[in-house]
Amino acid sequence: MTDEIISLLYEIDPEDLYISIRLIRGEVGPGYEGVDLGIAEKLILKAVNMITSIGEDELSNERKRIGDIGDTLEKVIIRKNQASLFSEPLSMDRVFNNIQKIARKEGRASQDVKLKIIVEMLNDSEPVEAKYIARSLAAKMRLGISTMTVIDSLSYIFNTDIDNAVEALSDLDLGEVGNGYVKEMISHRTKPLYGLIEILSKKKGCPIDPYIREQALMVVQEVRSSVSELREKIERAYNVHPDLALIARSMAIDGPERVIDISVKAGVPLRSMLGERSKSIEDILLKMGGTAAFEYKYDGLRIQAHISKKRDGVDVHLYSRQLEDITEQYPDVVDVLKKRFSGDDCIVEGECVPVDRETGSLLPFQVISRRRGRKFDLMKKVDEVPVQLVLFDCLMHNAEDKTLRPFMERRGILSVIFPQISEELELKGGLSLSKMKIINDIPQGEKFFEQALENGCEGIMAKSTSDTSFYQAGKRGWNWIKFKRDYRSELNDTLDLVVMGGYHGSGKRRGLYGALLMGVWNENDRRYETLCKLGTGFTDDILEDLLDRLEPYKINAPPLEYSARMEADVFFQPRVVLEVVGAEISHSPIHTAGWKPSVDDTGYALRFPRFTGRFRDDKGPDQATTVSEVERLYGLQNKRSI
Amino acid sequence: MFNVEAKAETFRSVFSVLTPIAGEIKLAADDNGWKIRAVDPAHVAMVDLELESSAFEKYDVEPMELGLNVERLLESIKSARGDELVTMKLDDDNRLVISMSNLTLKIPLVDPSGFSEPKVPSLNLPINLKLNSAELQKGLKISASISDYLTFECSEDKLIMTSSEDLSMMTLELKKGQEYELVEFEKPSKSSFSLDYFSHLMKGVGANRDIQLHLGNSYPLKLVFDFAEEKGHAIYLLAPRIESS
Repeated sequence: MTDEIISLLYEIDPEDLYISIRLIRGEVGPGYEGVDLGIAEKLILKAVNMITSIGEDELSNERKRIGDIGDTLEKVIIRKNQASLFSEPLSMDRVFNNIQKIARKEGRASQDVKLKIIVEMLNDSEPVEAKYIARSLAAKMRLGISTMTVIDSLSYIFNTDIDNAVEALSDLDLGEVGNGYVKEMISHRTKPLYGLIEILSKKKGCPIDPYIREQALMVVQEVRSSVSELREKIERAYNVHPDLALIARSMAIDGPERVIDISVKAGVPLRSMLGERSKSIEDILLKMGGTAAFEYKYDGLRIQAHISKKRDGVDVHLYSRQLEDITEQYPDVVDVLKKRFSGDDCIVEGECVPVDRETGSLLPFQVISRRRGRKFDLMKKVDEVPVQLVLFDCLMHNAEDKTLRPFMERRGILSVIFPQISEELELKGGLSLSKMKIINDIPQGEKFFEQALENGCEGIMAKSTSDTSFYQAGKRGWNWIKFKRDYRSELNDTLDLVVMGGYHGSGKRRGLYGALLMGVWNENDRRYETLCKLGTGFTDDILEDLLDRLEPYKINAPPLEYSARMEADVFFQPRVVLEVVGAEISHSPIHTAGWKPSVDDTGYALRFPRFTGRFRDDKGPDQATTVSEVERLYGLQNKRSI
Repeated sequence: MFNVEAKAETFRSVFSVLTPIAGEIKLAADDNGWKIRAVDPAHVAMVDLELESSAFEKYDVEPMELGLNVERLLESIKSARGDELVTMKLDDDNRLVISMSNLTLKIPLVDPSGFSEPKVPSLNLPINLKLNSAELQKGLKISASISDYLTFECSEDKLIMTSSEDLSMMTLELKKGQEYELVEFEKPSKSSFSLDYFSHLMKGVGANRDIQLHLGNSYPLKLVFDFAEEKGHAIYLLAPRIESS
């Protein structure tokens, strides 16, 4: 897949790269803007009706019979009989501009304009163009091109060392096949490179002169490391500015090396830093070098707040961990930030927790999750369940990127931005700092941990106080270690698993899914691997709900990024994440999590899995539990039983 | 500087010609008057319109381009009597200030850079007829219940409008010298059009107006007419339906 994307993007005029990436990813703008297309298929069919005179009933029957809006249009568009006043072939610019217009037209009156813009495009479409335009409009591109695939591709396309290497290698005689690879490398980038590495690495039976072979091997190894260096830079850029199309455009215009200049910016949410887990306070202090800043780990909704002073007041945007703009759901948080903020601009992070107005104590997270997606009675909810924003980090202040400053310095800035802030929860104000203490020994740490639990927290988060305790956007690192009560008792820590497939139910569950194939994210091999088949913990309502939730992600075959040895009746794109508990982690010959074919031919499996009832809508599939976390849980569990 | 005054009915007639094509348009104004060219979002129909400065009671305009939401403008002068004077001028905040008797409205402009610059396609139309819009309206009304398109077939001495689907059919025959005058005739022609589009255009033309209808063979049609006491001149173009069978 990556090979094909690379060849495709390499051929494209750099000026068109931005639009190409948007189109292959099926996006109108950066994900965090939340501008979606998702045009109703009915409207698309109506446009077809306008230009073909095929009745709307016939069209909707065809759509049902064929099963896909794109394939339907590809087939019927040849019956087009409406002429256009200005016929000209479609261009990427024109399609993307039209898509933008459609996505940004709001309101009922605009339906007619949307319809006509669709007509305008279809009028000049070849059948295959109509197919992809329809899929783009209906948000059903389903190419499954992941973020990582695009980042990988960019690291090859923009790697000038490949071109230099080709020059150096053309002077060497690498045999017929080898020379062929070198020739192809300019335009095909990956495949010939790895083909070449393969021949050069074979010591025995390699027809190339050993000295030349060594020389060539050095050149290609350098290319390989240069590619991974560039990939890291692009990944860093993506973590602080998650918009691949923009990154690609900036690399094309400003030069590939300038990707390092892409930095934190108010209004562009960063990908959150995540913490590792540990099995004991002792272990934490050991890993942290004896000292760490312990913070309460609040059970709430993690929020990234972007605040900037504008000509006409203070502008606040709130983003969830999914980088979704949730400003409108928390008007109370916006208000308090506006009131208390001083400075030009900043990005701060905290946990939004519900507070009992009478007692001042923390309430369970579920209480605020009820606010999500509400529009009409939001103000009532705001009154009923006041929230507290407990801040713990600062990522940008007065236009300066703070992510590469040490944690203690970053936290210190919070008191500059919000002069009156303290670690005491405020019943009226709704803004405070997370409870924090510098811990040097185990008893102190244990005591702080118990105190956190007594105060209604999940546990503690230990943060390194070292000079290199940076904010590693989008990464899970040992600078932050979380420790929850669950970790020390039996395995009832929850896992967040991705729904990969489904099995049709029978009997009482006829027409619903009887069980789901659940998986974890393997961050090294960049794929999803199966961990268990989940069939318990579902009520009838949940099963009904699941049917609707999963419907848009149905696909005919497992995507390439799936590694599964088990069959399923239906596969889904990795989107829905469920919270699951289980009895223990065991080895299994049928599941693929952490499976290393070379070692023992087994993967990890979760025994007796049960759905907790919590949909992790706040988590993306690549933020689900990872294979290495499962591995660690497995390790913890075994140590305990000794 | 943009400060004009005209009767409400003058403004109304201009905007009504435009709304069947586009809700938002770009107006080019200079000493001689207004010029507006707009294409419908589907690129099926377009309008090319001119309004002489003499159509206005007061006309004080430097050459400029303005983006206007004509649907909103039409709505805003709805309450005015036909002969009531309405002024439109630009204020410092780039809003259009509309005043009539005791009512004042301020409406923001639309960014004119977002509009395409349509060229009028050059068409070679062998037939040109002069007739009253009422003659066409009659056929339109009836065919609406029959099909979603309308066919014009013109021979040397008659113009036939037909509309058919399945077993239903309508035929309306107009005779040369009676219902229309023939201005030009090269060869017999036949073209079909979307009824929906055509009836919208006819709404823009208005009732009981003298028009010129240009036709070709499976070719766009052209409607030419004057409005605003002959000081406004408009051309509509409409792309045909191509018979597949």
